[in-house]
Amino acid sequence: MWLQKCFDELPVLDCSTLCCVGGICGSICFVASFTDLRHKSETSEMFYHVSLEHDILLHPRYFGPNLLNIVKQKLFTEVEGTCTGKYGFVIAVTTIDNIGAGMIQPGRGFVIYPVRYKAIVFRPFKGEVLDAVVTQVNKVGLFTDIGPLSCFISRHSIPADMEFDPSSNPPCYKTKDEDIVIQPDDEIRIRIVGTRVDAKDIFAIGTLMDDFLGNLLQKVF
Amino acid sequence: MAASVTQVLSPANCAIKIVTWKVKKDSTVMKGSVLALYEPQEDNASKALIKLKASESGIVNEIFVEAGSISPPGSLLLNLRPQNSGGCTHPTVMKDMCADCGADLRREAGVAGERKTSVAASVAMVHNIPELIISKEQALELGKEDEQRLLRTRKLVLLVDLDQTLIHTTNDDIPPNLKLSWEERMFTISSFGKALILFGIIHAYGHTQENSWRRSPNFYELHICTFGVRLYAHTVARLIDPDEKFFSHRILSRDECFDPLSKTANLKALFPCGDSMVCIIDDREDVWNFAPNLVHVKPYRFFQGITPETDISGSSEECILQKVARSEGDVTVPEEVPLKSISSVRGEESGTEITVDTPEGGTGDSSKCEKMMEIDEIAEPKKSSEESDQKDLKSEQTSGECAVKSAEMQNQVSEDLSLSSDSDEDSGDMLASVDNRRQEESAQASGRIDEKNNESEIDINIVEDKKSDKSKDSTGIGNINNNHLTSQEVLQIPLAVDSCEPNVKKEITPTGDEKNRPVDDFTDTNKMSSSDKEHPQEKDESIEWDDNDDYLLHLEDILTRIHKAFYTMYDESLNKGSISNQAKTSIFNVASVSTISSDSSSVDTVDTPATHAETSAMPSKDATVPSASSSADSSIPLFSSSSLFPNQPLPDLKSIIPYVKRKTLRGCNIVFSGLVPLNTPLEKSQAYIVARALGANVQPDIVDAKQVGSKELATTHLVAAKPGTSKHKVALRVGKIHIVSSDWLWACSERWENCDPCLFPLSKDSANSNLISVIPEKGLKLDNKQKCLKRMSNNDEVWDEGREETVNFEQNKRQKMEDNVQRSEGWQLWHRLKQN
Repeated sequence: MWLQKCFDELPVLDCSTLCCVGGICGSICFVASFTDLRHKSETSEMFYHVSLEHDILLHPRYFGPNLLNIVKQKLFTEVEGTCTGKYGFVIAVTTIDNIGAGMIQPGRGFVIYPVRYKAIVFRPFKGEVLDAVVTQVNKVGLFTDIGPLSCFISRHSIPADMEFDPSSNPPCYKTKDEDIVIQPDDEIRIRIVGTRVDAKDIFAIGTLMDDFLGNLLQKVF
Repeated sequence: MAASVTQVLSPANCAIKIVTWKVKKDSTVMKGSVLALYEPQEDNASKALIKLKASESGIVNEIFVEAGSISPPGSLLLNLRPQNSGGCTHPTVMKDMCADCGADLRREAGVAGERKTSVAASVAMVHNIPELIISKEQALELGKEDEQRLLRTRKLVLLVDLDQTLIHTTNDDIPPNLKLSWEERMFTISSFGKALILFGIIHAYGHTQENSWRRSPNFYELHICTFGVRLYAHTVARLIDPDEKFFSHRILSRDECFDPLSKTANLKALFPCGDSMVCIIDDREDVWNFAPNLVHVKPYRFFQGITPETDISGSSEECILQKVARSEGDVTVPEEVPLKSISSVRGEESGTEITVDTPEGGTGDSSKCEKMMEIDEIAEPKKSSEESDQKDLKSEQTSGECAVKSAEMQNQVSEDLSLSSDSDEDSGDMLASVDNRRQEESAQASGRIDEKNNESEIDINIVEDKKSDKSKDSTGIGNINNNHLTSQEVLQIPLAVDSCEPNVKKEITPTGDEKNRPVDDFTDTNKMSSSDKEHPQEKDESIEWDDNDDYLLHLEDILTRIHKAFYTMYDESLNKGSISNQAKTSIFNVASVSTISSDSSSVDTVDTPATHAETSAMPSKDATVPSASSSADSSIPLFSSSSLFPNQPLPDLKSIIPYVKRKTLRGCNIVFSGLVPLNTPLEKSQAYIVARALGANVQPDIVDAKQVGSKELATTHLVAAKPGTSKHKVALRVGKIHIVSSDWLWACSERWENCDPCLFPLSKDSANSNLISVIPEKGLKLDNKQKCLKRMSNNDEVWDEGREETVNFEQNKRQKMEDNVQRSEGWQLWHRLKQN
């Protein structure tokens, strides 16, 4: 798919659309271990294969022959697609290592299963180059989505030869000779200059002021 | 800020060898970006390269160490001077992150808006993203760019309100086969909660959609400015404008409003260069603090049986509340609302619920609205039927005045019913009143007024209650109607069917006969329509709602005129250059010659354009700003000069719009008769204010051209509340004076055009509606009871005035007798009301 094509062409390891989850990402070699995550941050690796833990709270009505399957299912639904500040967005659970002994909650009947699992997480770092999809263009800058991550690019971080054109529909940034146009739904390559990691969300600031950044379709390499 | 020069030192633990520098002199570095690669000069250390990172952002001032050289621990490597004297000032901040340097400005574990450092950014300039703020300088820069672009494309900014200006929404059940004329479309917005259905009708530039709706973007850049919540505003905008051609992302909703009660606060942020090119259309003036650049449009009401959108509170939330409340209400009184009748009841609701005007919305408002609809149709044959209906009414009532009054009364009554039903303690009361209604169907007006009195005490308390309560009011009337209906198995919708157009009065004041007649005639139809779709033919017939509202045509005309005036003035200022001063003043002198009166507002007429010319000429003379104004000094009258010297002041719509409006009735000398209550000075009356805003000259008494000698001073229009006043008689004697009902004035003020006086003849009928319309919109804030009282007393005063103007004794005697009759009837009503 597009991801693969991107790989063949580029020395830089990156990937844009995280909509292609788990299955694809897991098989690709750029999934790194989270332990050396900090050191690797310069080389654009935003996917990590990490070992995580999660507690599953289960209603007693599920107690039965299918119990463990239900625990697994519940893990998938509860964990995939969420974001933790520390590890980033959980893209997909790859393996479930261990489902611990369930602990019945006194007085309630609910059971808590501690589950250890491995998952592919998406954790952007400063300095990384990523591919993003433009969602909105206005006079102050660009809004882009990198999978679950939203990223804003100020107009100061857009090359000076590109100007905002509000009269076109949809509004866009373009150069004078209209060689390069950035408008909503375009794929652009950006570099992240800052992230803010909350407990539940990550937000990023990007820039286009570097070589090989900008619109992917129109940029001549 | 020399003190803040940052020194970058080599690591203190060992000597290092700089391998390569990644930066050079004067290059900008961000905090954390790599300055150089080095390797530590230790025996046991690996030869791996280590990055030297910047601890601060800044510009490289000087590099002290050559690449390849070895520097001892702690030695100075390079200097960083801050950018723009003081590091990044964070001129663009998104979600508390600087969008330029990428720094996270939010305090540790802080909530949104809690920042570690102060930022230069303060202006939220993008409509729908309040988190994105930029500095004032940038905002000014962007604002200037916008302004230049607008001037280049010869556009103006138009802020439009959604609810009741462009669209009208309802959460009532709408007959599925409701026929709409071709320019209207109906949408169902189902994304709001479970059961909520909103119907919106495109009213926007409606009737000739192909033409005006497409043409108008050439004149105006459209922005939505609404008090609806964001999701609602955007959903509606997408419905109106699926291609995002007109509004794009320029949608300001409740979520982004700084001030929950006023839309004015956001103007400064959206248009940092001032709102001189901003024109506003809204159905409410108060949310804009009565701004001069506001074109007050007639509220658009399509669905009649609708609880009107409570304007201040978020419309959609309100709707949800109402829906919930309604369903709750249905649950609480299940035995009173048998299921079989629900469908029919719904239809009835949509027919009569218009009485549930919110106290703010006021009956004055709705009656005015209704009246205007009548005006719109005045030339149509429908009018005649309507009139005859009214006459029927009158004859069946005790007198003509009584008819109207009781109409109003009952309007009030049903309002009060709805209100009272809400309060907790009086559910019994409500039932009682329903009983009353049931019993006294034939007894009519007096009975109703009795009820009204019963309820009016509770009324005041309720009015003071919060909005959520008001939303429940609709439930109240719904239930009452339900009860009412269930008991009778009657639908009132046929009345609305009869006329196919909104007529509040008729629906609310059916006399005993009238009420029975439609029941007889239409019961079958109703049963069919409510029970099944077996007879689509009949059903279609019964629910075709005509929208006779052609107001948008007039609005378009107004907007075009404003646009023209602005750019004429702008071109004028460009072309004439330095001599524009005289030229323009002369233009405006011509324009304002006809306003003759010497009182304050006519002085305004002359003044504003003059000040315009002055201000536009000012910078060229004062020349305080060296670069821009010196070039302006050279006074090159080129069009491009505006883009070259953006400091040139623009014409201001805040004065152009009133100016355009004043041209409407220029040269008219108006005399009011019976319109202004005795205890109010003429200058404070609504009619006077409206007339002055339209540029007319208001005279206290009729001036005869023959006596004065000059034609300019002679009275041209007599606006009378009713025939037979002394001024009316004088006007008849003098001749050549258009004698019109007050509707003429309201129509003129709505359309900004000098309407044909022949369409608004003064008649006995018009007197009735005049009495209602005398109540200015300012009375909106009064609660129902007060309003009712005021209406009564106003009527008296109007009559008083009519009585006191004595010219001819004989006539006056007759007049007096008439008046006394009327008055006594009025007082009878009044006393009855009081006693009960």
